[in-house]
Amino acid sequence: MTPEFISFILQNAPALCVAVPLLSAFIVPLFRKKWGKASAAFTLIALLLTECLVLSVFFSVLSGGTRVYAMGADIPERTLPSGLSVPIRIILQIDVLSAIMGLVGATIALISVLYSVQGVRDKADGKFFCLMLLMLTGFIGFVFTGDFFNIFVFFEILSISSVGLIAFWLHKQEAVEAGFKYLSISAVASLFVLLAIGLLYAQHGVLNIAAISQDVMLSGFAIVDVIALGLLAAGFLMKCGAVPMHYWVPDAYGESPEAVTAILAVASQASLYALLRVSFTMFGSFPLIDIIAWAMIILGALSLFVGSTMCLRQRDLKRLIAYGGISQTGFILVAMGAGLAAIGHPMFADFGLKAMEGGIFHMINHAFYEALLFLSAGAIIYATGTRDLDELGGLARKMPLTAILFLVGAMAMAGLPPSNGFASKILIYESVYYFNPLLAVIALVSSVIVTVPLVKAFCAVFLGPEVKKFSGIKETPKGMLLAMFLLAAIVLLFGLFPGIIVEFVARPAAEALLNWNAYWGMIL
Amino acid sequence: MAAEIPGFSGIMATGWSPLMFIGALAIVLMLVIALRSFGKKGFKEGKFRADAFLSGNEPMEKHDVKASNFFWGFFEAFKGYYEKMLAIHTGFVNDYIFWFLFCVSLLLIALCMGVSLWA
Repeated sequence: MTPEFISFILQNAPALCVAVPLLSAFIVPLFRKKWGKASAAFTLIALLLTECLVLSVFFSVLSGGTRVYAMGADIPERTLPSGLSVPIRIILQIDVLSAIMGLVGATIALISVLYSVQGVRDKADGKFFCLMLLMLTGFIGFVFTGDFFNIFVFFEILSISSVGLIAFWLHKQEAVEAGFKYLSISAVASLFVLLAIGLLYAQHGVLNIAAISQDVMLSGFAIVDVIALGLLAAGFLMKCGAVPMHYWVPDAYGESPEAVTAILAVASQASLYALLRVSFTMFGSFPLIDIIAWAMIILGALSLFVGSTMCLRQRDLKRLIAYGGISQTGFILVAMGAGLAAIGHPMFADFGLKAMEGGIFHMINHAFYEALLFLSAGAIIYATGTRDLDELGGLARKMPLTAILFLVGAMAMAGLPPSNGFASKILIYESVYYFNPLLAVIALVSSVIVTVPLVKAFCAVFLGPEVKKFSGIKETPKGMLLAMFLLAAIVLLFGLFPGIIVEFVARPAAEALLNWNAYWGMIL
Repeated sequence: MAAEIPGFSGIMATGWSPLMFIGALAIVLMLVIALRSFGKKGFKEGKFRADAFLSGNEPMEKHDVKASNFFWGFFEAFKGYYEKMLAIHTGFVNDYIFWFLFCVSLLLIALCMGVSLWA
């Protein structure tokens, strides 16, 4: 490889991050026809390549600031063709928040596919890997794009591939039903998002986020902007599973193959990312943004409480983790809502920025430990064939490594040291306390409540006397264990060295969200 | 009062340092191992030696408490709350859409009222 070629790849890395999984997705079924099982290796190589590309984008953004990439331009950074004052091309705009989201998504997709090589049964054709790659394409495109229409396009790619994967086991009635429910709510949420995009286009005549944002903030807010803001916020809140729009979450997470559930949980975070992009970058200076901030805080507090108490009631292992995940979304919403409400407050620098850092750090952490919990649950289901907690018991004797890995994930979700969940939660408690002590109390109590069902799950699955019908089971296969070990290592490392993540990732990401002038300046 | 919230660089004002925690954990672990080493070397399992002493009663037959029976008292205390929560978790997609429309409506009403008051 010549230095020119490497430089060409690095220059075009943002576009390649989307192109590589997209093209691979269509090659996989053909590959499967010709070379059979080697399609798994092909998918892993494609995902490894995507991971390297996303890493290169991530480090270039960390070192050099926000990157823009105009598709079809002679120079990728040329966002305004000569003679035009508004951007018309498809433009990718990647700041620290987009880059870290892309990196988290690519890493979990790679680990999930590594797990699924042994962990997902009935991968009869290339459909499974094709849909996984398409899901990653939708995710990376969604967080990297700088214009609204492509947000919608990638949102659809993400949703449709997710539906295919949720209903992957077509012989299971529940899986098909969960797929249908997810399809219905995705279609409705997308419709509202599209309507909002249409309103913004009619009002401002452009689709680029930076251009709309500048127009909205400089020329004042029209009622159409306000309605668009409400529609976008509601659509994204539904897709991130905020209470009371969370009903689809346990259905979809409960019925999809476990490797899919891990990446599906990250896909929900893409909606959170979009909510932050709209509320901070686009409408951050809107005088009534407090209404959206308080909507986030109220729905976040509800998610915390309802998620944790409903988690306690579950006897289905995957639904239990799904409800736990809803409560964790509540943490992120409360922290980011507090940050949004504090903009312009004299004490913003003291607690608002810290709340945002905590929220972003928790978003990253939540993706990894929830994936770890779902993959460990998958290992249990793989070995025993059941996810009913009443039927399980005494598995720690047969599956000690899986038990330890599940415990690491459970500790992180419960927010116990030294896991990453503790590190981000303590940042949220401290900063939110200064905003409103009651919110910190709700968050703390919910975190205690969510610990209880995780203890229940651990005791019911791994402790107690041996269950006769599971006397012949063995430890999880090595490929699956390796995937879970990687996630557990990330969970523990982020918990042991939280300062590095906060200082080099969460804080720059929070500052990028607040510095909307810099966001416009890259394009206009 | 300026609310000084420490970051994670160095030890936080809350006293939290992950590496110190690991160190403390290691010390506790060593103490446990040291205490265990004082135990009887010739101990053998069986003959009820490891069973709980139940006020002189005969040892009970071993029963496994099922997961759905865990925290029974908690569910009894919050029966009203759980009945309501379970009732709204219907599983019908129509209800899912209803709650979404309900939230959209509330949000739009709040925003429009805010605009009219602000204007």
